[in-house]
Amino acid sequence: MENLEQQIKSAIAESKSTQGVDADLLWRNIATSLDRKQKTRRKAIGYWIYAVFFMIIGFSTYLFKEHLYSKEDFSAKSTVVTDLIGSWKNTFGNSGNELAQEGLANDPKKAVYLSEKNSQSDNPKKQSQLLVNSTSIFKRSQDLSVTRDDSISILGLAACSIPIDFHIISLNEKLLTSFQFNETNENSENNSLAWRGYMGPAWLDNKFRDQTTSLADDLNKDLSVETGNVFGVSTRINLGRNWATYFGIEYSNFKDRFDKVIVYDTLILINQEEIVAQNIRTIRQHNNATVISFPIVLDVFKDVNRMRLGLQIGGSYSVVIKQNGRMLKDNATVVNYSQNEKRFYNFYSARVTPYMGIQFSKKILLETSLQTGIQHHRKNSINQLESWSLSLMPTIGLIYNY
Amino acid sequence: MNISQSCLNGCLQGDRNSQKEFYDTALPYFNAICHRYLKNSSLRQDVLQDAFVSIFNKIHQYNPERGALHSWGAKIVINHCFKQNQKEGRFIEWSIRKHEKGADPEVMKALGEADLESFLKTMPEKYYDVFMLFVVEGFSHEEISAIIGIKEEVCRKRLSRARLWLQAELKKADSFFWDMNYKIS
Repeated sequence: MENLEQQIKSAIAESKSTQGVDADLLWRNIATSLDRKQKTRRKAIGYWIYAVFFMIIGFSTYLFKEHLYSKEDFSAKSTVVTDLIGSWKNTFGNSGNELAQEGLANDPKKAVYLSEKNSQSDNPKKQSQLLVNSTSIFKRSQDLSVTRDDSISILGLAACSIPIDFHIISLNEKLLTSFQFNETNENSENNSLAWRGYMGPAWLDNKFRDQTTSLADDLNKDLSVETGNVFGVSTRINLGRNWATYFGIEYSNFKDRFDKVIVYDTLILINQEEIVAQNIRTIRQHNNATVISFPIVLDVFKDVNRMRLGLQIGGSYSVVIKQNGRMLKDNATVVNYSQNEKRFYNFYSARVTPYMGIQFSKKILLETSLQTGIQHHRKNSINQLESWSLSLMPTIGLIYNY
Repeated sequence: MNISQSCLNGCLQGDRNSQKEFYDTALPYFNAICHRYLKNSSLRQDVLQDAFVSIFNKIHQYNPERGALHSWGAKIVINHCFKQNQKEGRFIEWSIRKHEKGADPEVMKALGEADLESFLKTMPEKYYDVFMLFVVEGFSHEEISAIIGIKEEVCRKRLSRARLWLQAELKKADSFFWDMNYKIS
């Protein structure tokens, strides 16, 4: 049998023929296809790099503006308080000044006491004017303190819509061709265990939903996203020609800031006389939640020279292991929450992650990705509101044995 | 088939003249492969075009330590043939092989290259693919299973059945010759 197979092999294996093929026409078609493909590849890489570039720019701006706004908050409040002291000086004279200074000195949270009626003041017009002023100032203060930056996503979109300059594309091409790929990169060879590690900042924008009351709207205004972090490792559980599946574990720390201005009436003693005043209290709390997630994703990728472009689609189950912070119980009550009295219960997440990688060596691929996820959170134990959240995690990582 | 190192280097740099040199050298061999594995011969030119474009685009993935360039290229051509066969199979249940007559055992000994191929094509299609890839192209079961998209175990079974089929056909041929000799004597 072996002899027969050898005979068959020797008879057929080296057979050659150009019969049935127009060699010249075929070559012309091949040359045209190669030219076209080269252009398309350049374009695709250019678009991809632009997309990632603008995503990074968008989120950096987001981060920057987030910090900028938090600084503006403080300066704006200080201005408001100074204005108020100025108004007080005008209205109450020295006693008003002392009162204002005393109020500021006593209350580190910049509580300001405002007299509704003052026995020493003989000018009711000024008094009412002050009240009007104080109300408008308070409004300003409240508006400023809860200012949210909703313009960021628009900024990101605007950045993406900037006309593309193809100079960068040619630069990319130079970058790509500068690598001489002499080592093998056939995926069929890499069926062994592969590891992926990644880390980066994390943002979780939590939006409450409730159509019957305004509590959800208040809460959404009062909470603003802050930068947390994420670390993760995953292992490849399956590999195809242009796809793979990964399962892993991920540690994330999500943060947001709670800002609230609360106004309430109070009685104070001025010149041995009790008067009704308004207490304006600004509350700022940095909330955080520590989460362990178990993601499973399908990774679809395409290798272009030493560059890998890919998209991961999947889901995860997240266990909230620690949380603390403050939030609204109703429209006027701020309460602390913790792991015992939960804001977040364990949740599922759907995630999409575009990524771009450079084959650093035969075994290691360096990658950057933008992980986006959407989560549904069931009713919390504080105000019984359901919520949705969008998570964004631009990460940098390594894949070993890619 | 010899592909020079300078030709390979030129192909790696995307040099059109080197690509043409490779094309001229490899075309007869790749065309013969298409003839062996492509069901619908009218699509041979298209398949060859796609295969050559793939080869030139992926040539940086070629590792000289793992074999000759033409073997690596042959694998890509075979992959394209099987992909095309799968596409065809989705729309039409048609195969040239089913319409070809078996080779006359009387001329077994004098089989030429074309006749031998025709005879082997009378083998059931599933066995033919595995047998040819294993015996003629020299692929391992692992590689064949990846190309065809079957399990290695199934691949082994098909090869052994192909061998059984071949033995049976040879026996038939032997008995035919024996009967003929008996009748003549």
